Amino acid sequence: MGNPAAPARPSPPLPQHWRAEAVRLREAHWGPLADRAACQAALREPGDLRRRILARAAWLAAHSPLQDSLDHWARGARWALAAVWLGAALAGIGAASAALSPVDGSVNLALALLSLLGLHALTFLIWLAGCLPGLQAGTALSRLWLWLTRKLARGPDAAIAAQAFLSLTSRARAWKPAVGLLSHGTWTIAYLGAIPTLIVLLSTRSYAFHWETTLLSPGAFTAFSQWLGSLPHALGFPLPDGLSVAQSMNATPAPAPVQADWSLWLVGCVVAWGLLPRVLGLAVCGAWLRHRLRRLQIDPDLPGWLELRERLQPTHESLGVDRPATADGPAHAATPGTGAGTGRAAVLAYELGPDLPWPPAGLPDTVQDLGRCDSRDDRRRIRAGLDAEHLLLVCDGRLTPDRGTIAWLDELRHACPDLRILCLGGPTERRQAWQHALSRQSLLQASSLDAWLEHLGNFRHD
Amino acid sequence: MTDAPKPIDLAVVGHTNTGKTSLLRTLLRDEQFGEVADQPGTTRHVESAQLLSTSGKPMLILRDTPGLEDAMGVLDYLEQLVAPQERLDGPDRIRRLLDSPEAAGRFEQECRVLTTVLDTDAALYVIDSRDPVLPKHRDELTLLAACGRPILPVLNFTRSPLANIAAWRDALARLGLHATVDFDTVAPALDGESQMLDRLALMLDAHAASLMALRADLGEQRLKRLQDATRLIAELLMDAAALRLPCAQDATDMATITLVLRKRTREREQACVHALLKRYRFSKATFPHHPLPLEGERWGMDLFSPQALRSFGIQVGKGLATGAMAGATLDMLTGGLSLGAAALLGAAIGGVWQGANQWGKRLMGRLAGNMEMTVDDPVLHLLGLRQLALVRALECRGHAAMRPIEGDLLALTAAAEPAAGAAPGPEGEADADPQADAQAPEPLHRLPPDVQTVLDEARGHPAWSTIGEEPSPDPRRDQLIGQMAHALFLAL
Repeated sequence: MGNPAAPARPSPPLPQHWRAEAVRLREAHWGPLADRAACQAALREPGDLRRRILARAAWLAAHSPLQDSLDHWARGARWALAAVWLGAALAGIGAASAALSPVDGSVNLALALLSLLGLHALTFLIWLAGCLPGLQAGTALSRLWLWLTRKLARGPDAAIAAQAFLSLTSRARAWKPAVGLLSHGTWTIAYLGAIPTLIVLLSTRSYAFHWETTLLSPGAFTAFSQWLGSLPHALGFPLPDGLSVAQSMNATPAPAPVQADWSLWLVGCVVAWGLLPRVLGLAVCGAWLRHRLRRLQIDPDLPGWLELRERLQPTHESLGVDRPATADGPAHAATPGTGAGTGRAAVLAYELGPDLPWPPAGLPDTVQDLGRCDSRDDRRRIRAGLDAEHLLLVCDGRLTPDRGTIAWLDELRHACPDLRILCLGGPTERRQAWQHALSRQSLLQASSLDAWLEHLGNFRHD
Repeated sequence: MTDAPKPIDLAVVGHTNTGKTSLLRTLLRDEQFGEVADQPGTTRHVESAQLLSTSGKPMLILRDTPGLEDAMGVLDYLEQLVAPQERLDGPDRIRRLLDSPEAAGRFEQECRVLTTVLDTDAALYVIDSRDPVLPKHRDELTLLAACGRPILPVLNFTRSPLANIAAWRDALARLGLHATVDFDTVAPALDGESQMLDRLALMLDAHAASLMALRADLGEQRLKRLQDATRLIAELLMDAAALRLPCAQDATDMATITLVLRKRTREREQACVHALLKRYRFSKATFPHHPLPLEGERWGMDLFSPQALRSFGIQVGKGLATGAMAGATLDMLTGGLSLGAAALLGAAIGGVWQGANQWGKRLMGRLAGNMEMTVDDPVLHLLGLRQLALVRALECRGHAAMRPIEGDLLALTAAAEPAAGAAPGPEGEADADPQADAQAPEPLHRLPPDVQTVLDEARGHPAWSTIGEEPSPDPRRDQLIGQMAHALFLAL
């Protein structure tokens, strides 16, 4: 039977969800736990996000004091429940013996019935009203149980355990049946204490029953007793007839068979109007709770779980690297080119943007213009026609230097001993990339066309 | 994806430093993938990753390759390898190259790329559209075409003012590549991914169904992200609206409580920002300058400053604009108690111990002349609008973006600067991201009325605030959060 202390029992879904809820609340209050290993464990589960969330929570709870405190709380909850039930049984016995304590030698039937059924009827009606849709559930009894539980299960996480249980059951809309189960269970226990007490007392002692009224007519009590007795009568209990009812009015003791009828009528009323509704309520709540708990589900949209989606249901995974990258190619040492020694000078535009003018203004006639060099055909042409000793290669600083460029520069260097590179324009980072690439190859840079022409002049003077 | 046992395999190729790894980062929504730098040759090996469907099945493999840097050299070398009278087709020529000694030498990197392309279904050729079209690019495409795989050119950095898209399209058309796709890895268009998949489906007929399934799955994932985001915002608003702090009727206590109220609200906002970043798979470094939302730091403006409200176009009352209590409202306990007779009856019938307990405490407080402090309505609107603006910014941010989102920019794109004048158009956004104004249909100045009604109800339930004094679960709260998230989703 799924009673409210069921979290401790291994009914499969509830403990899992309870644990998950506790982890969620804990993370919400004190920030995320270190969950790398937990997530890895969860990822081994099949693809369903909900199962993975449960698996992660299970791992986290098992590897922290949380599981212990949950178990502790569940134990406390069971003890608290036992205490409440014991109290209920004692209260039932007490109520039964109090109801049968004779005043002036006889027992007032109406008052005895009221003391046995009055509070029960009131709380039962309140419970029924509470089952109306839209109303909050939460009886004093369930609060008492939660409070007792907290007292019995002291510890840092005790509050979390109770809170998690409360929030889980209320989200699953299982709180009402759980509370109903608790209160009906308690009342059932109370009546299971009260009815044997009644029977024992009625079997072993002699009671005189009577009824009295000032305001009402005698007929009213007759009708009342007939109406109340009709349900027990259907269950096989005797129903005092009108004569016996009239005989029992006021303090004059009625004959013994009438008293026996009255005592059975009293027990019948307690069984039919007290125990029976509570047992029915218990059954209804049990089925209701079971139904709700069967539909218990992780809602991945809740805060705390929502953030887990990316990690527990990754949208991509890495497949790694084909093979490690080779080390950088050997930096080229400055191998002096086998220059023609002609003393001639030339300029060359390498992949220069079409927006930059070529040939540059102020280029002396003595310097040969090799034109733009972009394609393989251009390269072929230049390879064939290059016989200069001094070469200025003008490149576009907006582009990224690549290995193709470096290889080409290396080829040119072998043809011209004095190769200089001039970078035009470009953002700082790109210029730095060029600088880095050129200095790795020990290639010299010219700062501007004029500077190169000056350098050319110096060379000639030497 | 039941009909596709094998995922589609794509190689991402291109010249060096054009943003191949960036493209993978954005497609995978992973800021951590590979290594990105404005330098040639940052990626030197082939690194692969696969996109998974919501059910965890691999759908698409993406292979990040090193840059093609010396296509001219490779072509020259191929001419040496293959004699002119030999009649070899493209893939055979490439295989000849891969078997040559230089495949492990000078052209090691190019050969890695070509091997990958030979093994995959298609290649995405990434182009930095800011670069001029050069013969070396044509040589690269020639080389790739020889592999006999479909090539889809992807124009990157198309949002840059330096981009010359027309020149690239023209050049690609001359090479017979008519299908291209614009995909800015830093600020991709919302439909960028699906456009790319559409084009691929045209090229890879055999995989068209899988590609369409992938496209639908990605759309679903995006929708889910949006829903989750609005849900997070709804939680934030609920916590802030229901927050209620008791306070005595003297000035020092009020000031202290105001500070506590603000601190809790700010921290809650920061938590929401972190959750949103996490959901969108951005690191906290997206806001590196704002470690904690302390005075006037984050977003450039403090939550409780009148300027911040004005910048979002929220009407500011006189009381809020001045004084130490800005942004907090003193409530004479009426708001919390005016729950209506129905709820009172329900509480009495159900015997709501806790509720009665709380009300009792508060009634006692009321009798003792105490009051309660809550977060002002305009601040709630600011909270919500800011988070919505953040979601919009995250939606159109690529995972290759390296620069943090700037708070002022968010404020500008969210509201058309009513303080600056009655300019109805979005002229005030000249310095804002160009894509952001195309994104936001019209700036919201208030949260939707549906959200307002929920917030009004939340104000009456201090227990609904997880940053409040005594938070407790309530199914009604969850229901309202759902409602609010839906209203926010519609507003996005």
